[in-house]
Amino acid sequence: MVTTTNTARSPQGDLAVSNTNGLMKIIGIVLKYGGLMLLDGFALILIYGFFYDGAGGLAVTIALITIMANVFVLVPSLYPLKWMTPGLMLASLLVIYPIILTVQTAFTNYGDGNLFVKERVVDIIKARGYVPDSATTYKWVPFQLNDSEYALWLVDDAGQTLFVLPGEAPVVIDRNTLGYSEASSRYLFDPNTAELFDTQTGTNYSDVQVYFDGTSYGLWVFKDNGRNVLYAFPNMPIAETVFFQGRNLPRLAEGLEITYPQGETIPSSIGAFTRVENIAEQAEALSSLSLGVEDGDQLTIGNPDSIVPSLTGFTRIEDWNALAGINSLEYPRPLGDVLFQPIDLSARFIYDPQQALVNDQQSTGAGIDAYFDVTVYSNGSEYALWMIQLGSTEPNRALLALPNQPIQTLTLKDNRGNISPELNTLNIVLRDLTSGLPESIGDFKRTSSLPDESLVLGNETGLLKVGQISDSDRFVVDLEQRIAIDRVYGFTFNAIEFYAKDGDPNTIAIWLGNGNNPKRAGSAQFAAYIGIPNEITLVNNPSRVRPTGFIPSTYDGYTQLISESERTAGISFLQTVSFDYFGTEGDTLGVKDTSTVGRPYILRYQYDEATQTFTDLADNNKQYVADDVCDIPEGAIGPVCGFFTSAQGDSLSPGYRVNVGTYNFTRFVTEPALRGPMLDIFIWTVVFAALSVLTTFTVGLFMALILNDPAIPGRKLIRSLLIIPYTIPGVISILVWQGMLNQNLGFLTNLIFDITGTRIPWFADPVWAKVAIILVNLWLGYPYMMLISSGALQAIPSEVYEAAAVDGANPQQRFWRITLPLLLVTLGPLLIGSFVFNFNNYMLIAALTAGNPPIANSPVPAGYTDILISYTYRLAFGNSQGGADYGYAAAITIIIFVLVAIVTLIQYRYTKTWEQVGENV
Amino acid sequence: MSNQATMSSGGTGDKQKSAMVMSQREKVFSITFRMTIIVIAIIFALFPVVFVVASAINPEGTLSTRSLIPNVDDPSELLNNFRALLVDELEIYPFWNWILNSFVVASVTTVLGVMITALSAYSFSRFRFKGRRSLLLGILLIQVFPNLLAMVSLFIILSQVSRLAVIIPQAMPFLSFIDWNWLNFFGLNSAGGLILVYLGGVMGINTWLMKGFFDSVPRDIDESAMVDGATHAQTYWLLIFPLIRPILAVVAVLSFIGTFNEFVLARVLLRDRESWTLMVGLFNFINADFNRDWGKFAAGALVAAVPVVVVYLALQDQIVGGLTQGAVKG
Repeated sequence: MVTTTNTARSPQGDLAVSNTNGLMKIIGIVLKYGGLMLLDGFALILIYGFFYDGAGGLAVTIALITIMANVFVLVPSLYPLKWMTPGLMLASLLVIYPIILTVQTAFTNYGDGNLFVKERVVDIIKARGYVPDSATTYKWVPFQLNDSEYALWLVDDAGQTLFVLPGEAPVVIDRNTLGYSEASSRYLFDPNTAELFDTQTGTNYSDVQVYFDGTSYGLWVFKDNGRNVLYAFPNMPIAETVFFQGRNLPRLAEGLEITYPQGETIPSSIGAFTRVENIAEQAEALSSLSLGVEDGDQLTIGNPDSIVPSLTGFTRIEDWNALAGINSLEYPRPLGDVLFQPIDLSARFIYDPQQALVNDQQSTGAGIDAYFDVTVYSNGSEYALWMIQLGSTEPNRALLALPNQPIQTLTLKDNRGNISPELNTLNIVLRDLTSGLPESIGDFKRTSSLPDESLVLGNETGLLKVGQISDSDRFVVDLEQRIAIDRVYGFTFNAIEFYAKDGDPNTIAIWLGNGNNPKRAGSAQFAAYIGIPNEITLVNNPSRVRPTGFIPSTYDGYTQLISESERTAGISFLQTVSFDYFGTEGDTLGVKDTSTVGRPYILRYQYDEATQTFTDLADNNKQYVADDVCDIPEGAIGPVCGFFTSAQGDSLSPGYRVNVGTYNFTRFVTEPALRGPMLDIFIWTVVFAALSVLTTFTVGLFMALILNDPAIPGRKLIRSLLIIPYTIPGVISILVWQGMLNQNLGFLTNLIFDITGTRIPWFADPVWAKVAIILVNLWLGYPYMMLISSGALQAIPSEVYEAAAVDGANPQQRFWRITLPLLLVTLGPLLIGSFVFNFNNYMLIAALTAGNPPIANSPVPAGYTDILISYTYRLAFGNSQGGADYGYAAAITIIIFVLVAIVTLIQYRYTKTWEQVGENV
Repeated sequence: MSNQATMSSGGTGDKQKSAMVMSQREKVFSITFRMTIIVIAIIFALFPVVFVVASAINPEGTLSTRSLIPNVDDPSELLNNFRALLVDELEIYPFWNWILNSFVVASVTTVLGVMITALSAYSFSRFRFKGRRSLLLGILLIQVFPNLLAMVSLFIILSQVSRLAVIIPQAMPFLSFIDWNWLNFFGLNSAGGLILVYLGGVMGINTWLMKGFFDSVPRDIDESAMVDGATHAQTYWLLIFPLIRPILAVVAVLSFIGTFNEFVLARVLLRDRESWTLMVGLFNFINADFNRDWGKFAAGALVAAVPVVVVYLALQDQIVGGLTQGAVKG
């Protein structure tokens, strides 16, 4: 081998200069400097951009990399490195920089709860506000202009109404300008019948309890089948609260503690007030009752019969004969067209054969699940209907209507995805689950003939009748029965009034009150609407959070978010911008709880830079001091530091990053809780890697030896077939094995069960899970070993064997004394490489067992089949248990790196490859 | 000592008899014995493959299906799973997107990766410079750093890149005449970002292998070219590169397949359903509802695996040559 010292030679050093070469040189120089300038310019933009964004480390890295690139290209003596510039740049940014960051992280407490640097955490906590007890609180309803512009409609306890836009002072709304005048008192109580009437919804409540403390009265009203309670006591606003049969309501307010008799939900006393058993006797005294607050919700004595809303400029129509000849009335959204049609309340479902649709008139949803995709079945004389929910691509449920049987909802699949046993009992044969369509339902077969209008299915629990469905007839009024229905939300209204405009009797306004849908929960069970043609529709919001009074469906160009889906979208947007987005600086809104906001919203924590202390203004000026020193309490998981902590030991969240020294490296020694899983996992990792190499190499070598004989017919084909496992993408193979070994459904598990009668718990039992991993890895890995072994076998010269044969060596001796040692010399590095690969074989563990079964009582998430890298991955990227701990994960990463690096170095130190580097080839 | 057939040999034999000389009977026995082993091995190797094919063509499509032969009236139903995946249910599984993403990521990574590595390897092979050995060793060690766990840092880097499109016009208003949104292609959740991450690690993997190939090209060739006045660049592109092109092709195929099959990094860095690669997509829809989608998973697995298997089998001799020089997979 010639060892020429061919030192780097710059291109300028070349002697031959011809005309073409001159031109080439100029082009080369232009390319070189032009390219460098472009690169440097772009790098400058990136560096400034990253600095501007607070990513200083990244900016410095890019700067260093750029300088490196420039030096490599411009300094002639570094000419060889110029060739590597693109590779080195990429490797520096995406391999070396992450490694440096990882090393740095290993010495910190970086993880969930301590994600940010201290300055950032101080800023976060400083920005926090709170709503003081003295603040005004409001119930709110969201309004929307477009996808990103929202407004809030606020009503406080006194009934004052505000409309709030981002960055603007709230606008006070006079509700009387909305077109109707409210009754001076919202609630009317009739002592003779002991009923309470809500004039704004038209709802009458009959379950009223009266309480008396010797001088004054209080009322307790059950609403919504006992889910909610409305209460009115002296000197406080009339309010509603969630009741849930008394589970959550120990008191109404300070001094109004509730006493429930054993096993009952009606309170026997509320504070000093005791229950009045016979209300009729107190009717005289109650006739002067007045509760509530001025300008807000008030409760007075009155008779509901005569009380209906009065609309400004409209007169109530007493005689409905004046409405004769009208088919429909038109109002702004969401009332839309209100049709005058007879309503058949006994028919819960209307079937429209033309459109193959069924409408559930008591639907609880946003309209979409009111419609079903209908298929008709017949047994010759009778019909049955099978309906799939519209809008569900993979049907899970179907509605079945049979003659004289209750109309029922059926589940098509159980939670494992098998056909539900429910269907078998009804003798329903499903063709496949994708379409969800039955082949037959009992003796009913699919038919294309349509039933006529006389079809009635179902029984007294709900009928299905034939009718017409159109999109526009959401609201229908039946003048005969004096009822109306909302077909989208399934409300039935039975308080209805019409109003004629003064001077224009053809303009008719409508009031739909006491809308009730017993299937809906909470206050969403009730709704009321006022419609004024060409002007406005007012909604008494049928949502869970209902502020006092009617709210316009549109205001100032903004649209009220009424349907569940609209509200969900709106609320999630509002939560992302937070409420201090609304209102002017210094006078913003703050969240109090899910249904109320408060004003003003003021900063909660005062920070003292010198002592590094936060003072909590909302909690008696409690002091929180920065805790930068890490002490490790006995039995704790992780260091307790990097938080602002009070004298009582509680701390403010989030914490910040601090240096913890070598703590992360010594944790599995110092913390007994971590020592257990760590030791097990380490041992299993080594065993797994060693066993994998041993099994794959043994099988691979064995097959290579067998195939090495030219006498075997079709060697090439056999080899091709045997390496197929190696050629299939690893993830796919692992997932297929996971499927075949599935404990309940797996093909292989079942096959073994059929033969031996034992159901092997492949993934539930620690030992079997490990067996499964080794087995699958054997399947994945033996072809590689077979390939490299057969290559190496062919490289062994046949003279060696001939000489051995002459010396009388038998085949066994030949294998153990000649073949194997020679193979190990050649394949040794590759076997070590395979060990290293399996040591970090994250993909196999993640895709096959995900580390499971879990180790019980482990303080950090760990499983019996976790190897170091999958355990570390869990620590770093966390899950519910414990959260991410990047610091600890980084420390383990470095330990893995050192172990693997040592093995690799040893491998290359003693192999040819190393010699090639050593010598000048 | 024993007369049993052993792993090592073919067949029986004893001290007196040379292994080269065997009786006819022993030969037949030996062949029969080996063929039995081979058949068992082939069953072991191909059983999962048969199972996947059977699942893919079975329209019932659940894991609990027990028979390998599907029970259908109409042969076209055998393609139900494929039809669902490739035609009917594209809004649920954007399968073509996944295929496209996989091909884009794998081909760009391969082409750029092979170029970058070949340049470095040429330099290592042809120049002698200070720090050459440490650099080679460094590249080797970088390769064994568990890249998976640098994920936090990679994640942060890519998310910072994703912010640049907004930050640059803010920080440097005079540059806002350019639409910087193209930078998002190199951020999180995009093929470009993933390609960058793959390329960052590419030097570690293949430089050693390629350096070996360059070493096998005699130096006399470049020296004579240099004497004739060629620059290093000319020598490389016009002489050496064509010489090693066949072996580069093998490395490229291996690199393509390796990238195509990679799923650990891709799973973390690609979050949106549309941006997934084939492997991430297959893994995820199995995870979502294992039992229900088994048939479709099997169909997808076949679509993904068949091209790879065919390429491997067609090029097996060349690939084996590459493997024994340096482990690329295994």
